[in-house]
Amino acid sequence: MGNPRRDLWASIGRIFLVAVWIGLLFLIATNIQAGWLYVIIAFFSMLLLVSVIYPFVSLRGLRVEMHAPELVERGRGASFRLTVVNKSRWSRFLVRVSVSGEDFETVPGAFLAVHIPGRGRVSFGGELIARRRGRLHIHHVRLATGAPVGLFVAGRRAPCGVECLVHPFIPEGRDRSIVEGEIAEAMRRFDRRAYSEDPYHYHLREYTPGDSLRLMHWKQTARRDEPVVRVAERHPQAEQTLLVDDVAGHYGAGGAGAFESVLERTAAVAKHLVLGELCRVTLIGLMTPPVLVESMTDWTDALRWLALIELREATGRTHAVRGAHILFSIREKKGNGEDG
Amino acid sequence: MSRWMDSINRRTRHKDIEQSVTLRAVTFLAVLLGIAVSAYYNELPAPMIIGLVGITAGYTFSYFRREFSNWWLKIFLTIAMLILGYVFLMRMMYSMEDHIRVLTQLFIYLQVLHSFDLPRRRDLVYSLLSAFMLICVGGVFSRSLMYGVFLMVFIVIALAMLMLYHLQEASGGAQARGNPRALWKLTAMTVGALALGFPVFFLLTPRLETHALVGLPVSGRMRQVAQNFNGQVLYPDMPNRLGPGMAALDGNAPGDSGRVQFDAERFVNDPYFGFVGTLHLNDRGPISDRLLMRVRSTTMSYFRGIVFDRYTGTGWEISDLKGRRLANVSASALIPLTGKDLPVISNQSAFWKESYQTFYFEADMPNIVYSAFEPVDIYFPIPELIMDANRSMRAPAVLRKGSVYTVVSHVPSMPVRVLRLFNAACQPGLARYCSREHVSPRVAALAREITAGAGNEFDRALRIRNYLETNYKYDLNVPFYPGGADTTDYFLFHAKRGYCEHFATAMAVMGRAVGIPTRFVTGFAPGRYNPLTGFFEIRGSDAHAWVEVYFPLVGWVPFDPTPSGPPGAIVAKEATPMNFFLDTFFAGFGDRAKQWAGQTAVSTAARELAVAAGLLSGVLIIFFLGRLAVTSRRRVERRRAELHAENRRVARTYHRTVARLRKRGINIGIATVASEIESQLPEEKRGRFRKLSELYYLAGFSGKSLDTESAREAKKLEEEILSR
Repeated sequence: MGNPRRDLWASIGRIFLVAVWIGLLFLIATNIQAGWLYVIIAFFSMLLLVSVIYPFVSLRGLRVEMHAPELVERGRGASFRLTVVNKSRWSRFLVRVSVSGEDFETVPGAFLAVHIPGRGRVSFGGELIARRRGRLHIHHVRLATGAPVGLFVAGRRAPCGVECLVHPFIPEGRDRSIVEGEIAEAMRRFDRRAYSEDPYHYHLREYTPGDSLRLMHWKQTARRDEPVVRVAERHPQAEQTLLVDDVAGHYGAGGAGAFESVLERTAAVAKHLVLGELCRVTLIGLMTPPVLVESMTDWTDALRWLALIELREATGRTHAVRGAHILFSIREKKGNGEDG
Repeated sequence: MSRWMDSINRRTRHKDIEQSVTLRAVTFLAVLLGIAVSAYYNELPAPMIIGLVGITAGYTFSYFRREFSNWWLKIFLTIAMLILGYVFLMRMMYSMEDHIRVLTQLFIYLQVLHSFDLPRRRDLVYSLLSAFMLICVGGVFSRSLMYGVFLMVFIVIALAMLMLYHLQEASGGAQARGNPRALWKLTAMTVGALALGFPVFFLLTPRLETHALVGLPVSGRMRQVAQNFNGQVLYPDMPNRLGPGMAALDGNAPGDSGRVQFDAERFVNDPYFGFVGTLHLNDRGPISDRLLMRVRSTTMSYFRGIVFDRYTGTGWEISDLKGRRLANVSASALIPLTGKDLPVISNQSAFWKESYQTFYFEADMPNIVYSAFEPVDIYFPIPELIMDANRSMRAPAVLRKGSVYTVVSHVPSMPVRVLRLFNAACQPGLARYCSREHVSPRVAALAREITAGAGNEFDRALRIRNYLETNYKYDLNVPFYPGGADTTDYFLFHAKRGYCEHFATAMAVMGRAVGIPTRFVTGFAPGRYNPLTGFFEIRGSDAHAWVEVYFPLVGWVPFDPTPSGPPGAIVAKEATPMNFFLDTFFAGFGDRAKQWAGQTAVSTAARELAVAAGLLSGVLIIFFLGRLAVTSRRRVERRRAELHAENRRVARTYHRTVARLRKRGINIGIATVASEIESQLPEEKRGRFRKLSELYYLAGFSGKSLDTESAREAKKLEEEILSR
């Protein structure tokens, strides 16, 4: 149970085999009027009928609810929850749920609801792994069940209506160090002055040796009976713009892979800059409007932008980059994989 | 070399190895049972032992070698199977052994070979299918209910295997949730549904007439036959006593008193004095309930043994005892019972129905060949037999336990309206059946009196039959009739009680008195039909006597005048579980339903289906009505549950008040309305009761929720109404 097409043909094959056998028995029984053969024929005919009808009846009244995160990183697992709701008054048994598609896979590959009580529900948890960046629609899941003795497996698609945005894979390890190396030089000029400290927004932490006494929060220190210092929120003053070349013609045929690579590196750089609170980042494509990421709270906007950006044909109206202090243009050259 | 072997091993090794020991064990049990059952019912002791030992060894081997490719074993198995196939073909062509037995042996040996190579789950399923085939083979040969036990065990094992298989398929690579104990509930539900549904399916499975694609069942050729056989009746304990001595076998010659006890008990285990060449109606004999034979028949018929045509006043004789010798055709088991020298049989196919009966003897029996009237072909283990002018048959050897033969008969199936078209016709060829010898005048007068006004032969025969059934008592222990007395006369006017031979004789003689050609038949009633095995089980106590009446164009039609016998002519009735069910549980209704269905349906199968559909519709209607009742009840309960608590309090208060008023003598019936109660109350309380009833109507039927104040008010009104 799992592959719908294979299930269907296997089921039809099994039913056909049993039906042929019953037919042969009937022929023999008719020829010799053997009473016991009629007992066998009656029993297995009933079994056959039940095996075909039961799964279809059993699948009725089942509803599926699926909850998955809005943003999913390509190639990395994201938790999701699947709930099978039995709206009928009668219990359901051995219902297999599989969620599969070309653009994603789940771990585990299928779920088995051994028993769903009448008007009850059964929930499963799993990991969703997207294979492709962009919008991911999971319109339905597949429910399949058979009669208790198998023979025939019926399936139906239950709508679940889940939509996720798959953003690029953000390299870690070796890839990330390359990215960091590339920007290190450019970042050298930035120092603490690049940040403005907000005196009104801060958080507290324990005093560690080396902290300035000016940062001590005396009132809290007195109250807690331990030294506490004030850590002001920093807002980067510097702003960087990452320009992504999203003109399809610049990549040539089969350049989608290179474009994805560019996006992955862009995402890595942006993440490094934003989450490291180094500077504000504006992400902009030649054909795509910009998004400004000022702090960690805006990071999801950046991920959405990275999920949705696509290669387009150049129309002559590119989005200008104004007021940028530093322009990084990260683009992979065709064929050799070097960064330009 | 080693690399080469490794390469073969790697390439031929299966990837989807079945690791479940339970699945293997369950399949093993199913196969074991299949082999045991098929070999047991085919009487194949050697294949049974080889099969059981081989299967055990094979399953053990294939479990321990499941991870290996075993390519050398596959080669060996292929060669062994080819050899088996060759041996099978040779035996089929040259052996005299029953082909099904040969085929069963092949199945068993193939199963043994296959059991050595069962690495995958798929192979186990094939094994189960093979076991199923073997069980079916056992079913073909089984004649007892014991097979049902084996079948049930096999079904339990097979279902367990299928469930395990399905469970493993469903749970493969899946995350499972839910209480596994609930699967027991599922199992119970499945078993319950199958148990409840099986009787319906069993009844609805159509039973078509046999096609006789290949030969019909017959046991192996019997070689020991009596010499100088001239149509006499032979008994198992004295098979070779022939000729004049037969009289002694035919029962004691009546002495002076005529009060004799039939002493054939010395010769036969189940002495029925009707199976003799000369029957004396004053004979008696104990009748046992021992199983004598099982008959697989497509129709529910009387199985005639000996037909007598000459009435002697105290008994019956066969005028053509020697009969005519009939032989098989071209060394086959078939003996055609038709020919230009044989008595004329009805050739109007509209009046009869073809019936196939196979007789399996469970005890040693005389040489009488039983059959439903009118036999046309017989598949017999002896190449010749004797058929007399009354179309009753005798073999030249006694029929021992285990003998099997099959008769094809044309059983009368014409409607009554056809029989009513004919009038008595004592044609020249039928003179001996119309003989009025030994018919006393008052018997003839009684017969004429009974049949006066009847316009046709059938009605005359029916009147005589019904007269006997109504006015005479069936009694197996009737005292001996006086020696020399005319049996019919004594039975009709003095004893007025007797057993089947007396009733049948009386009808035959009275029929002859009014010109109806009749003859006297002894044989077996259909016995008890077992719907599971499909066999009629015939016991010693089913021995019976009845009458055959001749109708022009139609032929001889049986009548059973014994009380509790079938009313009217005995016509063909299909032997199906549905008929059995209807006769057992809906005796009257079943016949009416069939009659009604018979008017609209053209064929037997269609009639069966019409009745089945009617029954099924009835069951469905009952089911839906029940469901409707349950749903309505639930709806009412839900509505009650939804009723607001204060509304319920007001309603309770009202009902309590009414109950107490009834106890105080107020006339309150089940349909008494509030205004009627109010009118019986004293003047000062009427207004309060009206108010309470209004509150009750609001609470129960307005759909509004009442507040606590209303409930309090109702309580207060109750107290005021009930105050003295």
